[in-house]
Amino acid sequence: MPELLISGLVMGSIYALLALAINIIYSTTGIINFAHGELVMLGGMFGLVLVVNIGLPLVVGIVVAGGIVAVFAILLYYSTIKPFGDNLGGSLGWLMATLGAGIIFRNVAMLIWGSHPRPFPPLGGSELINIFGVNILQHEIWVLVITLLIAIFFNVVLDKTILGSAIKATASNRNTTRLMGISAEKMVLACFGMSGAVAAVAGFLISPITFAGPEMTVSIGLKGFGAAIIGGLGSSRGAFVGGLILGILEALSMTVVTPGYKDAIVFLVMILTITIKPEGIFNVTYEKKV
Amino acid sequence: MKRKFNPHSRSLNTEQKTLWLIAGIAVLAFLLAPAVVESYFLRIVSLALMYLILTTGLNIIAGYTGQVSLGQAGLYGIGAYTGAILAAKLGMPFWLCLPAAMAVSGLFGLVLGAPTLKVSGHYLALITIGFGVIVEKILVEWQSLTGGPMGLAVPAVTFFGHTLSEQGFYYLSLGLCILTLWITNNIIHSYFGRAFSAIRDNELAASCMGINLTRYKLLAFVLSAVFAGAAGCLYAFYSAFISPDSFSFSLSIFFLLTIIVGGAGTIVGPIIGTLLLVILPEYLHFLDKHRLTIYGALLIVSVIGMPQGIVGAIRKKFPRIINFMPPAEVSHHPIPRNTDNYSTGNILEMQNVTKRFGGLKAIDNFSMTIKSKTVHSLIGPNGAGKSTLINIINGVYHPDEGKVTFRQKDLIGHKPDRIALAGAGRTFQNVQLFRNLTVLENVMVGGHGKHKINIFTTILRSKKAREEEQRSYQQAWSLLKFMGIDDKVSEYAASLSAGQQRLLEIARALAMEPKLLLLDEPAAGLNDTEIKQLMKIIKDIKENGITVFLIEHHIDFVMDVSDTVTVLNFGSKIAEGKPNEVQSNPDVIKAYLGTEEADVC
Amino acid sequence: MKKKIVISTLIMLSFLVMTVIGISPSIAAEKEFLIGSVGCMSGPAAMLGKNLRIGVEFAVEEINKTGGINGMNVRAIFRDDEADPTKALTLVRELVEKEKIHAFIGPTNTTCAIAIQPYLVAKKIIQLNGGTTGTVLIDPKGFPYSFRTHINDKDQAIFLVKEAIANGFKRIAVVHDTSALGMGVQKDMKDVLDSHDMTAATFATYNANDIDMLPVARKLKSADPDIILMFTLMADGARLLKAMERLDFLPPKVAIQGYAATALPIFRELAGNASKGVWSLAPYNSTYSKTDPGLPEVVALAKKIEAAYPGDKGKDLNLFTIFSYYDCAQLVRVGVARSKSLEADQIKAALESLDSYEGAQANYSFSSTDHEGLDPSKLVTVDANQLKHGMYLRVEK
Repeated sequence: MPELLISGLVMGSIYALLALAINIIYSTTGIINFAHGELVMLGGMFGLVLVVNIGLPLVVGIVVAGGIVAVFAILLYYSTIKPFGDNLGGSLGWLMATLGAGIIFRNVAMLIWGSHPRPFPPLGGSELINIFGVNILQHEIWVLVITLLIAIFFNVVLDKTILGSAIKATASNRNTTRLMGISAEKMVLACFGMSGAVAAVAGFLISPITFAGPEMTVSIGLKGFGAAIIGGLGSSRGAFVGGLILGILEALSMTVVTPGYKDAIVFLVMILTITIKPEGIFNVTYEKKV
Repeated sequence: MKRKFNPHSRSLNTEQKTLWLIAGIAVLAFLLAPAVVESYFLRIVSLALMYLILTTGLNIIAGYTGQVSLGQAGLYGIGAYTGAILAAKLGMPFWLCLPAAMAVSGLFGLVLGAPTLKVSGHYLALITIGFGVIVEKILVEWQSLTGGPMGLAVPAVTFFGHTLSEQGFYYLSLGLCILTLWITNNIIHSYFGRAFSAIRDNELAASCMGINLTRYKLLAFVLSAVFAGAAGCLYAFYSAFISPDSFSFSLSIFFLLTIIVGGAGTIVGPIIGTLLLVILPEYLHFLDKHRLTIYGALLIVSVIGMPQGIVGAIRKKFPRIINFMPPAEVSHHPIPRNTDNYSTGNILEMQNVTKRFGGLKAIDNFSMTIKSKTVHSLIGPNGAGKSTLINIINGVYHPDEGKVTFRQKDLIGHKPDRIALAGAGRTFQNVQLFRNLTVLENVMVGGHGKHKINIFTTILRSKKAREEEQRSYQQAWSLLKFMGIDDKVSEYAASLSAGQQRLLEIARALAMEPKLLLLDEPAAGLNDTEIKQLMKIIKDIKENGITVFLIEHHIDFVMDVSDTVTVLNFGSKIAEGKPNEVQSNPDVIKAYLGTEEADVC
Repeated sequence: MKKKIVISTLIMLSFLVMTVIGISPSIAAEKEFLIGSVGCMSGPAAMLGKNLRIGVEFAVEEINKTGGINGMNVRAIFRDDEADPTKALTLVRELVEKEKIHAFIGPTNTTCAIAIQPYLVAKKIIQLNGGTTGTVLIDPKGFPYSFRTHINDKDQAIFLVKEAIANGFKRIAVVHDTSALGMGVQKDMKDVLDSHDMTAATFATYNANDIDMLPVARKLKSADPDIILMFTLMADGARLLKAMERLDFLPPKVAIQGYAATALPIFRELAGNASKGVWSLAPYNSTYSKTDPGLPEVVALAKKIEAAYPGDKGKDLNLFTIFSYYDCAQLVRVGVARSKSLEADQIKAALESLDSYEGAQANYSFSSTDHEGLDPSKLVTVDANQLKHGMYLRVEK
């Protein structure tokens, strides 16, 4: 049972990490970046190059990879979202464009690095430590802690700082924002940059568990969206709690029901949440675009 | 065939003739293909035709109704497995499996469509993605039924004891495909199709035209699912073996891409898109490892470079492809007469209505009666709550307190479409047209509530259906002529000038044959000539027994056309009476002089 | 505006052009022997296609160097089916009808094979299957032109169970995913166990590509087995071993033996320390021991492959799978050379008369009732942690 909980918490943190970065983009632009899983994958692959091939220290690797993936995220914005202008709600072109970008990222990564997964060094080494009679990796504690820190960071940034107010203003009305002297474009870029950096961190944290490879986020990417929605799109607290709920739900369905239906159950919960309570657990105001 | 029932193709211009010629050559090419092309190529075309059945259906929901679905591969899979299981386990023939697969898929379409009543956009995208994943998992896991990951063998299609050959199957697919296109064409060029497009372009306006959003969204989902089911069943019998890996998420993306590349929301779009994207890869084997990267790039380039798809680009180049011909007769008195009489003499009564937004009272304990067959105007400074009042009358907002009676029936709690059908037509302060429909189609959407035929009659395009369509066509044309914009019928609504758009909105509202017409600042943005024309129109409307409720800032205009004027300030009534009485009311002067005079413009 | 019109016109034009090409018959070059090959070369299973491609390419190069097939130069054409049966059949038909291939090697996925084999029978095309392990695929009555060089699922399952029983293990646990492969294996293993009046300690299952393997490991440990047989795809298996490490349940506390995928170098690398002492299986010819370096020709081939795909590039290669595809192409050559014919029935007869043809992977014998090139008796238990030019070390238990 404690192992089940730890499995759930670790997987949950991973989903939460994905959801947090999905949220930050949602909170300024009102769109969901369907290529986010691939940004995480890029984080992992660049991590591999920087840390394993070049031999940079892990922390330096995270910072550099964070910068690189942030640039990729901004490029993603310019190539797949900006062309659709301000009125993103009216068109779903960006949805197809981000899906397309995901396909490109994945296949180019495959051409460069090959399709096979590779081992990735965990934070704090691969020694097991025993806590309450359960063997765990130090890495898993780091996953939980870093996810929590990022969630708190976003929560503080969005709720307590001027930057947060500016981001929220951008989300509600770009023209007003412009009048107020805030560059909406810069806000959006800042959010894409942050989201990219968090994706890279996620890549570093996920890779030791899933192994690093072009397909590493295929099965978990969609669940990041699920976590964001269950918690309430745009809410950092929601993303964190939503992720954990999803992780524990999965661990439970794996042992209680048969493992084969695990994904079906997770997505069913996501669909039910959207249908019954689209604002998620944390009551994010859901506005239907008329 | 009586030509007058075929309004959309009466006499053709050069562009349209060219189009028909191309279509004719294409049909001929498809009929002759098996004799010319290699048999493997025939397989590719057969597959493309099956996909085309699905993408044509997907186009109804994603292209016309504007509801994205990334779960179409799931519905396709359900159709395929329904057909396969019935044939393999119960020995049912193809001819029975096909309708069964369509029915089962349709049922799932209904389930999948249910959430659209609450959400749209990316939420819907995620729901449909989730649906696809769930279907795939169940196909893998429910081994006793589906054969699990190893798949299921499907018996061959027999026709009077003969097994259908490769070519036979090609013609079967072609036949079903043409049938699908014909059915879809009939639906799209009916009031059903216009309702779908209206929902896509403007949900608010659509519901104010009497379109029940719930019913039509669900219908669109079910239709698209039924076609997906048919395509799936056909595929199952064609390939003789199906396994879950044929119904993956990437296939759903592919389907959506085909209609985007071809041109979403057009009949021809999916045809071009599907044939192109199924056949093109056959010539791209040399790309080898780079194939999928290029596919991803194509996705991005096509949605950005050609958001309207190939068909959209062609339409832009040759706008005369859409060219409506005048109907046989144009009525010079198109405004429907209202002969209703009410015991109280009032068409609308509002009693003690209060509406709050947050803590703010937008409408405060407001009462008003509108006498039947009069022009009743509402004036007041900006932010007085005028538009809120119209929104309460036609059901966009529900009041927190009070009572609204329309034609002696209680309105509270009814949705806009119910109230519209009950006889309340309206225009909007900010023009709310269906921007991607033509001017004529916009007016025809207004006539939505006058259509009585059901979906089956529509599909068969019976005499009754054609007559009804012709009536609507003629009425719309007559109204546009009456408004003086009948030279614009074939243009897109978005391309009209601001003044013309206002007139179009009124024409659309009149097509609803309303008893009460709610006009929200109809003169805003009109020039002097247009305002004079509008005045005449309003008087004509009144003469036909239709009650007009008018919100307007042009005081002279109001004073000229109104029988009664109500003055609203801060959500409360401050004066009411005949125009000249109100004009001299000291409270009104104060309200206007004190706050409004400066920014009347 | 104009740009868009140009784009759309271009697309329309290209559409027209390719329709014309589609109609025109392609002219096959004279005196060329064409081998068509379809496999999964993209996505998560891309490594399967990579093995196929390398194996066939090495063999074709070799054959052309030694005079081709009956004097004809050999050319191989590869196609990627993305593991989709619908695409696989379309591609095979394209190869047969447009490219006019003489023999077919592949595919790499069982469902794809099920989809295409009836067509190959109808068109009388010789099929050499070098890595698709579904048991049902080889059936001389149903698919008379299909031969297999790779060990199939059932025989791997039989080998693993029999080997375990022969070595005195009593409580046998099995772990596999819920894919076609996994579910098939469960049935095969049950049959073997039944014939020995034994039951499995547990059959633990999971979804292919599952990340969290702890629940599976937990289930395995709680069944208290003395040997665990792993039918797990590469990355899944590595994650499972890591989860087992966490429960402190690895050799020597329990014996663990995996099927072919656990022999991959990349699997060993992913699992890290947890793969120490985990046994795999391999065909005898691709193995060596401390006293026997292996057959000289096989070692030479292994060295050549190692040189072409050194280090990182070769990590996702499985030597005996490459050998298997290599043998496929060589068997095509032998069949055509012996029968002096391009007719499938003649080639089939020639292959069926083969007795102990020495391939890179094993010595093949086929007959009119048996088109399986390998059987459990040709397998041995190996330690894949100790590779020499990609060849595996035999374990003396």
